[in-house]
Amino acid sequence: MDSDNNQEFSGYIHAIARRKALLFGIAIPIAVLAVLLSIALPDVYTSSALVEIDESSSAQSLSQSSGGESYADQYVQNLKGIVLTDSNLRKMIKEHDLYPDLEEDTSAMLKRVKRDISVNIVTTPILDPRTGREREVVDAFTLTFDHRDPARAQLGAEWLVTAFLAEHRRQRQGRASNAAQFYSKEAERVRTQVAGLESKLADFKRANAGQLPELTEVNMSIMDRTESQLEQINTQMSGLRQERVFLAAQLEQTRAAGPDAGSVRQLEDQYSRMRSTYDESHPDMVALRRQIDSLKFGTSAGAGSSLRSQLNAKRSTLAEARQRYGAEHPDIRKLQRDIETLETRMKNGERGDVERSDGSPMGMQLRTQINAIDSQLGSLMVRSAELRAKIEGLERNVTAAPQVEREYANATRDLTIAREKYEQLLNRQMDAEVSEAAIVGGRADEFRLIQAPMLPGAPGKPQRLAILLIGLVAAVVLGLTGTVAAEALDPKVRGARDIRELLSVSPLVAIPAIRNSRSRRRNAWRFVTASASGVIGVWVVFIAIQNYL
Amino acid sequence: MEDAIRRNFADRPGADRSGADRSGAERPNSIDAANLRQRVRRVAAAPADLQQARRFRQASVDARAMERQCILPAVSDVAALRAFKILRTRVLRRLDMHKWNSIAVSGMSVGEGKTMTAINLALALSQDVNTWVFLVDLDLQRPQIANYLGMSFEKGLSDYLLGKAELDEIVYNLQSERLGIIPNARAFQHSSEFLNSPRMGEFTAALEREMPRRIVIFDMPPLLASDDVLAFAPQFDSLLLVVSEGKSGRAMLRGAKEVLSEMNLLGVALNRSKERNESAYY
Repeated sequence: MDSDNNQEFSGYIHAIARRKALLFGIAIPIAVLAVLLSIALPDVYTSSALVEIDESSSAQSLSQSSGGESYADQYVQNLKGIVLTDSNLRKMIKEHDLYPDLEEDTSAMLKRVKRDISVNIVTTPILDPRTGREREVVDAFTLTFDHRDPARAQLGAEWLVTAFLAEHRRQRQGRASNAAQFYSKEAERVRTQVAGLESKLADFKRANAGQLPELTEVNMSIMDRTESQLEQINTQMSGLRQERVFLAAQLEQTRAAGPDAGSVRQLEDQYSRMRSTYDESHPDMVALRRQIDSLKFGTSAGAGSSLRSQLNAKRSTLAEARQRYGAEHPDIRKLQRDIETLETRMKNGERGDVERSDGSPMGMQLRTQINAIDSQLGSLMVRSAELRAKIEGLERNVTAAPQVEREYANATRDLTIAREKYEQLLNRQMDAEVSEAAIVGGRADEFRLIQAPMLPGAPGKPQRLAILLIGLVAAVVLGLTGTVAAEALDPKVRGARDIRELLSVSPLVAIPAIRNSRSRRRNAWRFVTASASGVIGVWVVFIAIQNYL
Repeated sequence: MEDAIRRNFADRPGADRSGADRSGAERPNSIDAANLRQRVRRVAAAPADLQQARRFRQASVDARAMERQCILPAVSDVAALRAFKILRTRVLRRLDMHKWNSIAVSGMSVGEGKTMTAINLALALSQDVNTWVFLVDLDLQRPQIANYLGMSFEKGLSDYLLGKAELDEIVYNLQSERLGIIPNARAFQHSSEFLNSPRMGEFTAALEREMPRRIVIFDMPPLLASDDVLAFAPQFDSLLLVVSEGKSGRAMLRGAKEVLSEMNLLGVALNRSKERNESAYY
């Protein structure tokens, strides 16, 4: 096992020995570069300022829209983007004459100043009370400026602090102002909305007057009262009807004891006899008939008689006349016209049911009382109808109330929400205005300068020892890595070990590469070329790094 | 046992064998662990054989070309010199142990150092006073040995194969008489057919008949680039595989394993190794 390990180790040693040119070709330039850099890089002074982010106010404003989590670092980065614009940086360079050696090359100056400025976030681990886990909280940031001249480093850092604080204040003010304007506009919009909803609700109330759910109880009580009034009227009407029946009975009795029935019968016999002699239109016949009528009804013939009885009389007369005359006879035609006239009058509602004249004062009195009762009954009936209509109306209102209630509730709810929103917007607008005023007054600064930029006493860069050590380690590591990689990727036979592996025999002899004048020249030329390339490469990289830093 | 081990090259049974009857079955296929533990002592060639040794024409070579191609006389790199000496010794031991006389030097692909290894191995072997060597340029499609040595010559292997020359016309001594180089100038399109031709059989037989008995090193084309090595396999005893560090692919080596199992693997030479030899002190 030991011999295997030894063989393996010696294989590595041989591999390194075989490829020492590659190993040194990688390692030496890197090591030389590291030495050059560690010696020749110029001193750079660093001046930095520490700016604290006020947690209490930043929690409100910096992260208002992010559910409570602080995005202060993101904000600082944004601020950096705004502050470190090319125009601002040009101003800074010009103001402090930062790079006199690059006076002509503006883009190089900008590149360099951007490299020299660094903004770093400072975090503190805290125990989150909500999650119970430790998390990093951004509570400050540093503004650093590097320069070969310590005084300029300080001036640059001071400029940065001023610019960041001013920009932050401007940002906040602008944000608060925007917020106030936004809330104002929103409040106006919502106010219009509220007015519209109020108008809509008023229209609704108007359209559903009496059916609103809040009037249901009132409607019910009115309905109760109206029903009791109707009841009373019905009772009154019932009493009046009874009284009328009684009075009508009395009137009939009085009538029965009225005009002489015998004389009427006599006149009617005479009329029958004369009819056989005279025509109905004969003046005697007419006079006789009127006499009979007046006896029968106590009034002049026809006057006050009922239209129906007149019609019946006319119809019977017509029937009789048709037996004697043709259809075109003037009497027949007259009778027909009379019948038509009477029918028209009846159709038109003319009653003509005139109470028969009660010839006696008693009858007259009774008739008067009956008429008064009828008149009362009439007015009561009218009143009853009115009350019934009123009750029906109230019933309709009460029945429609639930449907109306739903729409009414919707309208009311919309209005309530809109009003609340309006109030909130007004409050926010007021807050934003107050906040803006506080920012303008400088009483709400979130950024506080904890450590002002100092004049650096010693150079902060470069870390010469670190560069040297890292360079030397890198030289060894990269050199060995390159050698191992070249060895691993090489498809050619290397050493006696390969022969043993591939052919299972050891070589008889290992003939070295024979050195003759040609090989020596070739090797010397290779060495010179490689050395020149190495020197040029190291020099180019060194110059590039020096320019970059 | 002692006599069996102390065997002269000239007494090797393989010396009388023809190329056709050489099969892997007659020769040990793998390194016998028991033989490895035996003492193998090299002895000088018999004086009678040495008297028969032929002297060939001396090769005219270019030192700058050799320096450019890292050929031993022009190499000053101590580690490289030491490596080739180690290779020589180990090769000799294995050849003696298995009674092999010929080595094909091949690799995975072009540019792995096959020709350089073959030439330097031949040179290193020839530095041993008891070892006589032939180095044959058998990469018929891309003959390179002459270029590596900066060698100018009249006739080469192609002339022999085409019947235009005899063996003694195409062999050149380099540095010493113990090293005979058979270069080639002309490339053949159908190399494997030439490698299997009767003239090639005659050529290898002639090499084996040469006294004192010589180790024959064939510089072959890459193993997987053509069928030359496979086609010529019956003509050589063992294969020395050259693997170049950082050039030969692992996948190719894995693929060549099956082909190698069909031949006697003398061993593997790891070229362009970046593993420093532990005896750097010397």
